[in-house]
Amino acid sequence: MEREDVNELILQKVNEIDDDQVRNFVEDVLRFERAELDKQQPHYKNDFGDYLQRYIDDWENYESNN
Amino acid sequence: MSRLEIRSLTLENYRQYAGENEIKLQTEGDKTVNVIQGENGAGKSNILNAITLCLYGKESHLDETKDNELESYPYVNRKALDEVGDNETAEGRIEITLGEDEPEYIFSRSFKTVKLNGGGFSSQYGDLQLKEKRGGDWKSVEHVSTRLNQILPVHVHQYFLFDGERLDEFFGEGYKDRVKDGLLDVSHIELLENGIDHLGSFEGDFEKELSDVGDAAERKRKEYENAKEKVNNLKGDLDQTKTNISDTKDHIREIDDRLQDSADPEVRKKQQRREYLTERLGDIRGDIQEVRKEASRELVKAGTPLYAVQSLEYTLSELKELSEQGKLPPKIQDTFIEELLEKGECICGEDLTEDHREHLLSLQQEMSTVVETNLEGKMAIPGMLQDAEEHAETLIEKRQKLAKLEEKERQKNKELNEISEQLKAHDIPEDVDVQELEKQRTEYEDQLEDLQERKGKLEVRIEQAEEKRDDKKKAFNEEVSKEEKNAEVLKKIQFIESSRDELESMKDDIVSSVREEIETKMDEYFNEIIWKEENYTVSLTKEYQVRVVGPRNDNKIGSLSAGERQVLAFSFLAALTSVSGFNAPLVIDTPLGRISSTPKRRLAQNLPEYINDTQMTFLMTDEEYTDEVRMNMKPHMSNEYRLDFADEVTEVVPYE
Repeated sequence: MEREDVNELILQKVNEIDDDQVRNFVEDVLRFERAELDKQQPHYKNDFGDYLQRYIDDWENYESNN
Repeated sequence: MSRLEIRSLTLENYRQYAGENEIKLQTEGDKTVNVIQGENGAGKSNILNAITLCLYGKESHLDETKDNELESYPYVNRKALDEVGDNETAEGRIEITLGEDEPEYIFSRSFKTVKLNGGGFSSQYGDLQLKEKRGGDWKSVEHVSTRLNQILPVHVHQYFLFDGERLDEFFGEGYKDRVKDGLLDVSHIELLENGIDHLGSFEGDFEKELSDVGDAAERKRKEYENAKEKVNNLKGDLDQTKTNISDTKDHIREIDDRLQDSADPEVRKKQQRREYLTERLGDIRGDIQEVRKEASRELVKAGTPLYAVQSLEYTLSELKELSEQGKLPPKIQDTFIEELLEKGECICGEDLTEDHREHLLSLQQEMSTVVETNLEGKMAIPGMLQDAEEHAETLIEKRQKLAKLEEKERQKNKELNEISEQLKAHDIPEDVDVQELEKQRTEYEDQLEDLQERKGKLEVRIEQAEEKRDDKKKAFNEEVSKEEKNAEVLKKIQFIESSRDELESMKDDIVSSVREEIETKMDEYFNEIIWKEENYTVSLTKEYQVRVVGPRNDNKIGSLSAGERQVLAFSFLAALTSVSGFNAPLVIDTPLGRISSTPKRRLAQNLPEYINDTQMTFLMTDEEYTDEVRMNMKPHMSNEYRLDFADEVTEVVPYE
């Protein structure tokens, strides 16, 4: 069994996210949470930081007030 | 997804199993079933115990180790213990090989028993070990519990590895919590919740990075921080209230157990009656909620036509009257216009101009619409009145049903109060102080009511505080975004927030989809297995109440027999397994224990088909594994074993 085994229903909902960057980020976050499900305080910040770097530059839906 | 199976189970000197016993369980193709048959005491339940002890360090079925006195019932086989002296140790091991295509896993746990002076024993088990096969090599895995958790987490294993005989208790008191937990456990809601929490803190770190934002922004940051703190404090209060509710319920349960232990049969009888009434009261309240919702829906449908009945009746009678008087359709006006147009002259004698003609033609057109509307009105109004009458009848029916249920609720409450008063007046001296316990019980009940009210209020306050927090956040972000240097951080914050919003909305959708899917499957399975001729509708409400509605539209859940309740629980667990995100093998001890012959046959025949592509290992008694059951399971069978028990040792032998 691979760490990617997230409930199919959740993956279907993830696929319905229109925003490509947000969808990929959410998927990475869920796979991380799946792998760390039993840990009381998983060290998620470094991993989340990597995921964010991966997608933030190409994110175009930013509503800048400037 | 390929099938994850228990390929083999090795028991070495574990309880009845002396020496090394390897039970091969790998299945082939659509033959997903294994059966291990054994008489009571032969070690059937200890196969389930071995699996849960190895994986989770806990034996599921403790009947053979009364009062948890594990030292009296050693892990290590008695024969192996005979061979060691006092204060010496004998050891054993359980090994489970799990696999699909690849990787494969070998989970193992050793245990030992010390033979104490004076005939007692002391047993303990070691750490769980795991080896994983990747690319042909076996490697030890460091974080064993993490890997196990990916396969079958500890809180989910009870839906896959369980004792069928206890299933009839599943729908006893407090079942809604069990249903809710089951549903949340298998739908991976925890993943979403963890993701939401972690993204919240992750976002908080970026908020701290927004620097040199000026006085105005600092003020708004402070307001935002305060609003956030308020939400957190309220959530803390809510968690504490939930814990208090759970503790209070435990206290009540404890008192109930003690009253049940009373030496006076009258007290025990009253306590049993109270348990029954409390259970029924829960069902009735669930039904009341459902019927109230149905009645509201009917009211929405019936409301408009009902309020308009008088106007509709008046309009219809006017239309009829005008029609009888020959005023409708208004032929006279129509003929009059036609005559004017033909004559080309007004009644005043003036010639009609082109403008006059156009005006008259448009009047004539309008007149024909009026005629059509009148005709439509005459046709449509009776239909609308008929609808109103039907909706009103349904509404009355729902209200009558509601009144009956409320009356039942009153009766049950009355009887419960009477029981409580009688117990408080109980003055027969005995080991259990009934009067005092009942007094405490009433206090806890009052406390529970207050706590539940507090919980509801806190939930509303949290909702309001969250709205305020979001407004403050928006104001702060607007202020800091005026500084160009903050743009990059703000972009990250907004990205994380969008991701968190997606997870939040997903959470509600998932719970609702899983609930609906479980409801559909439960209904299907229950009706397939149950032996009644009538069709039942099994539903699962948003409040996690299970309703089994019979042909007379009444909720049968309170009157199901033990066997029927077991079938219902089976249907629920089969539905859970089927919609769960876990691809794990099922091991069920005594699956058909309390079920009578017809559903037993149906279950044997259909279960492998309900739960597709899942390895199922059934541990069955001789009474369960009848020729008929065996015949029905045969097409799905991969491995079939018999347990031969003699001289405190069990041998696992393939079925002839």
